[in-house]
Amino acid sequence: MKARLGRYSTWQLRDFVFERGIPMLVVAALLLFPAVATVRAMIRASSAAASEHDIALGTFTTLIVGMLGFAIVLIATNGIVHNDIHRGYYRFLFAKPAAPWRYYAQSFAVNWLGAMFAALVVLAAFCALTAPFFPPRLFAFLTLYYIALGGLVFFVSVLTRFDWLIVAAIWMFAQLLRAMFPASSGLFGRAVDIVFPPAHRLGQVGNALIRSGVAGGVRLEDSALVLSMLWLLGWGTVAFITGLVLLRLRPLAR
Amino acid sequence: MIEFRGAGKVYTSRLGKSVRALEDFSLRAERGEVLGIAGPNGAGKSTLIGIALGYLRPSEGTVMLDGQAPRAFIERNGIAYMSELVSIPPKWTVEAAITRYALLAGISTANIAARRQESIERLGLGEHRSKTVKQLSKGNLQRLGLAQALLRDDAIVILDEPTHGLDPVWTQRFRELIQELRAPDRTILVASHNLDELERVADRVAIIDRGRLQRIVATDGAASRVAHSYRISVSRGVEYVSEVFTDARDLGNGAFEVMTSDVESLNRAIGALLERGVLLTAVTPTYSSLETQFREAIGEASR
Repeated sequence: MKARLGRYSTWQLRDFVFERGIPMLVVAALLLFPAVATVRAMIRASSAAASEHDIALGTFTTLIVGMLGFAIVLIATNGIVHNDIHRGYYRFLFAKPAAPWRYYAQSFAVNWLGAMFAALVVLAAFCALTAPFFPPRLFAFLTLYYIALGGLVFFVSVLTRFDWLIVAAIWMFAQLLRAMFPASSGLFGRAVDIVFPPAHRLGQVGNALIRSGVAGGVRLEDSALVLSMLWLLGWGTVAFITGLVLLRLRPLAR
Repeated sequence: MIEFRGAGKVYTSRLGKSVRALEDFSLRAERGEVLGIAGPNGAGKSTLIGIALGYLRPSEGTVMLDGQAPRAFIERNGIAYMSELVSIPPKWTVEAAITRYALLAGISTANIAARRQESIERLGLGEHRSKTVKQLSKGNLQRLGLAQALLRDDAIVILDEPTHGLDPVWTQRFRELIQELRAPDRTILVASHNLDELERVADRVAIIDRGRLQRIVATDGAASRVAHSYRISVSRGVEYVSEVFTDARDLGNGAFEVMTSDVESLNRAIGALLERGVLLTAVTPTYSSLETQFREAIGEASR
């Protein structure tokens, strides 16, 4: 008799709503509040009707590519594996015929779904308070963000506690190193570009996907952009799969 | 069947300091058997169980559940397991917890409600079904731990300190549960500090200390084979006790602690007391037979 993990996903979704969804919306509200005020002031100052859409979309893109996207992914994935290990919940969960790697892979997918729904709520609230717009590729960008950053959180969460803190530090450190040693600066710069998480590619990809078709947006056909998207996808996927392999091979208790 | 073959475990800290928790441990719990594991704190019981569940990897040796590596067996079949520390998320209600564990145990949707109800009733959790885990008393939490373990008819049952925190009524009920769980194709392993409980429920008890198997005691008939300390109380003829039991220790108020090599010599000595007109009011073992063996085993280990 195998665990009925598919059915169990409704419980994982419920856990997401209460443990992550509500804090996610609170953090989003705190980040959105000043932005909404700014956009409304800019719209009032602007005379052209068409620019309302651009002002709101531009501000929202900046938020999502920056702190809001970062916060959504970190809240959705922090402690995804290690909370159960640290609190001892794994003991009963995996005495049942359930493989930890399957359980947490499903949890990662469920949390992605929850994060997308939370982003939709945030988008709806932002539009209601500013101007109506709908960037159809927002969710593709957030999925890329989730895989790239969330995959790394997943991997670290398999290994140790404070995964979000460690990943946030690595993420920031990577940005710092790239600013100091650009890929074009030599061998070390290129090594930094490959080894560290591709945080710097998110801005370009986010602007292109969310603002595609809008003046100032990057064209999707750009080969450098496609490479960045693949890089983000590949980097996160490798981290996530490595986490799954470790879950399969390593015992849960230390 | 649970089989340990030369299992050992060494924990190494991040600073490189090593502590051996289990050493060359070989033991087989057969199908149809209830095997007890006894040992003082830090003896290696939890490490042993962690290895049996595949939550810890042995540093040496192997562990097999019905001939398979622990994780492979559990991920295919599941086992009934209750840990010493009942760790269930505090916001889950009793009913939700049972439902979740039932899904993970692979119970079909059509049967979940019936199994949940049966499990809740079996462990007397009916009036607590809507309470969250954090609202449960220690004893009720322990019962919830047992309820989730016994959701299915698993072939392997591992219970770590199952009566810790249970009141006397539920401790008795637990013993009945173990008798109900006994089956020819089921292996039951119970780790406990409570030697009296192990003596009542287990067929054999493995005594471990300092990570090593010290002794295996067959509980059935053990009383007739071991030396005992008894407490006897007399209301008349106090002066004859020391005459018959030369090493009797006077505890006051007509009570004495006496040593006998076996039950036959105890009965002969009591007969001698009665012939002298002594009026006995009580004869009780100071330690159970398992307790005596346990003390001897632990004593030998520390020498």
